Amino acid sequence: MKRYQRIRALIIAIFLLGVALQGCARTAGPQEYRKDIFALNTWVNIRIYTGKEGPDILDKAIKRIEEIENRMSVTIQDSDVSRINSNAGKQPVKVHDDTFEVIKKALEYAEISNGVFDITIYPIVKLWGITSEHPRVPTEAEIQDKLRFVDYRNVVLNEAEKTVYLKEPGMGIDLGAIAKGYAADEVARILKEEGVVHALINMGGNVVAMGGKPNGQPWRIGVQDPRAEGARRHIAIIEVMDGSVVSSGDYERYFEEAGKRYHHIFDPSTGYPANSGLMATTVVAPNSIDADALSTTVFVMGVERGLELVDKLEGIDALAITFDKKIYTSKGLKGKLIVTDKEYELQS
Amino acid sequence: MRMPMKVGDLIVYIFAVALIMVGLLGMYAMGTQGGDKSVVVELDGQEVYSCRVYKGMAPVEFRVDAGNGQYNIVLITYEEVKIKEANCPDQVCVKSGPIRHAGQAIVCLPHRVVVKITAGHEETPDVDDIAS
Amino acid sequence: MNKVRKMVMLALIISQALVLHLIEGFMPVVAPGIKLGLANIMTLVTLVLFGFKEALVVVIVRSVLGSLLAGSVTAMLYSLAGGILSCLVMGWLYFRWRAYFSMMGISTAGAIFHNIGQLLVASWVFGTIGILFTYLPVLTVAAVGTGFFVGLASRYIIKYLEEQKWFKWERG
Repeated sequence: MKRYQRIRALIIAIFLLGVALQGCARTAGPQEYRKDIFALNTWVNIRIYTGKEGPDILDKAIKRIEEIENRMSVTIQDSDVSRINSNAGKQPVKVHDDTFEVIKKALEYAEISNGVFDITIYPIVKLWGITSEHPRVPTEAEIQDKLRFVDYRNVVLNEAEKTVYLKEPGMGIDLGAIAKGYAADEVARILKEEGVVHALINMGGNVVAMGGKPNGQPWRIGVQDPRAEGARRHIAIIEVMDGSVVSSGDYERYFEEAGKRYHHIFDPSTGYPANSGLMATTVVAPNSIDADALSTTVFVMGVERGLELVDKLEGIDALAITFDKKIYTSKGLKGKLIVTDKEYELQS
Repeated sequence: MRMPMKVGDLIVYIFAVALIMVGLLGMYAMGTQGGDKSVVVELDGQEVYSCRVYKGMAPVEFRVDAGNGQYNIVLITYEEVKIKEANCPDQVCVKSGPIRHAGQAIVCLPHRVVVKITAGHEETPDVDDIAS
Repeated sequence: MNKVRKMVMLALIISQALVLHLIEGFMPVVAPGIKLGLANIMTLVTLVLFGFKEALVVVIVRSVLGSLLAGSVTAMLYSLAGGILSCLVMGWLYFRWRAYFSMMGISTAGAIFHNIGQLLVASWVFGTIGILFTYLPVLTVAAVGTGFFVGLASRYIIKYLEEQKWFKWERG
């Protein structure tokens, strides 16, 4: 019997050794790293798939977001934007290259959209105070008074000096409709530089997809349900390998007074929240800065003019959701949108 | 000891035939549930790849690198999953044909590769993120 | 037969089983470690000439040593599971139902269970019972072939050994 015992002991020993050896034979592949922070007045979530250097890469990206925030926020006292606004009608202000670039891009979109997209809307934004503690509906006279300052053509750029000048005292700019997109693009650029292939960035609803999922399938980006009352719920899905998906809508920031909803996207021609029959728009574009600017633009323009504009732009698609829960898409999105909520009807 | 076949031998052969049937039936009977599915590819019992299978998806080709130049190419479509090509000695994984239902699996023992279809509601969310 | 002689005989048988085991290792049928079970020749011979316990020892020592010399832990698991299961079945058939089976019948049953044992381990290792179903048909067909060959070979070896004067004497 002793012999059997010895054999048994030997077998057990070899098993244990084998199990132990197999344990270390495995090498770690790319891993998911995530980061959630509050920046640019919104939640930022970055997901990357990479090796051990993941956390360092994320830190770099976060640093860049903070840098952008410090330059482009209207609430930070010594930001480029604050300095531009406080020097309106006084003198040109020298700004960082990135601020200059964003303002330039914003003016391009103002041009393309005939002033529907206008960063000089800031006096109106301040008047309504929708993002503040005490929003209110201003009087018609107040609005007309502030509307005088809204005109993108009064923003003077000096390419050589990298200065920005607002011609009229009382003017102000707000990069809120474009800065998030720029920051998301910058994060994507940094990730690419660091060799990250697969990533998903969500900058307060501005989604940037990079390289598809690690398994080779496209990223599936949901289109926010505009009537989810604060919940994260989607009504449709857009598949993206590389590119950005950005939504704008009356559901993001608003207050209600006398049963009427007043949201944060203003129509520069009226000084009131845009009322083009849309609850929300979503734009798909290679760069997030374009998607960001255009989602606002299409929202203000409405289905017809908005989608017509998008169809003219290369590589850019959009969808618009009307109050009667119908979804209209640009030509490039036809057949690609997966509607998941039966209440919403896809128009062809 | 006598050469001719005995009763018992016959039982053994009948048993063998029964086993072959069990194997073939088992391959088909393993799960016939419909619904949401995902495909998981394992190497040495470790998940190396997984993806959701849904209507209208683009076909996915995944190459399993089992080391030492050994490979299997898995082709995943909405309709079926199969091993398109492999350089294993027995080619059982290629010859065993496509699988379609949750619970089914293709196995390549020489390369320690398992491709299985799972009923995929759990960890595979509908969307990866929401643009809001 | 005294203890020492028996041990020497068993050692010889084990070494022969080991050689068969290793030769088989050069022609992997399905996966490294999964074998047709040619070494079952020696298991069957031991079973008939020495008894069940001795056969089990031959199987275990052969599997462990064989896998240590050429193979992996999984190979050893396959080998042990297949060998032991096949030895149990062959022993049961031989000692209980000998009258109804030829050597080939017993060894075929042994070969089939040799494969079932290996596939069960493979299913456990890979975590899918699918392996069992997928490979059962192929390996069962193969088992009928090897089983016949193993049975035939064992029959001749046993017949030869039993005819040898020295062996008869040894066996006492």
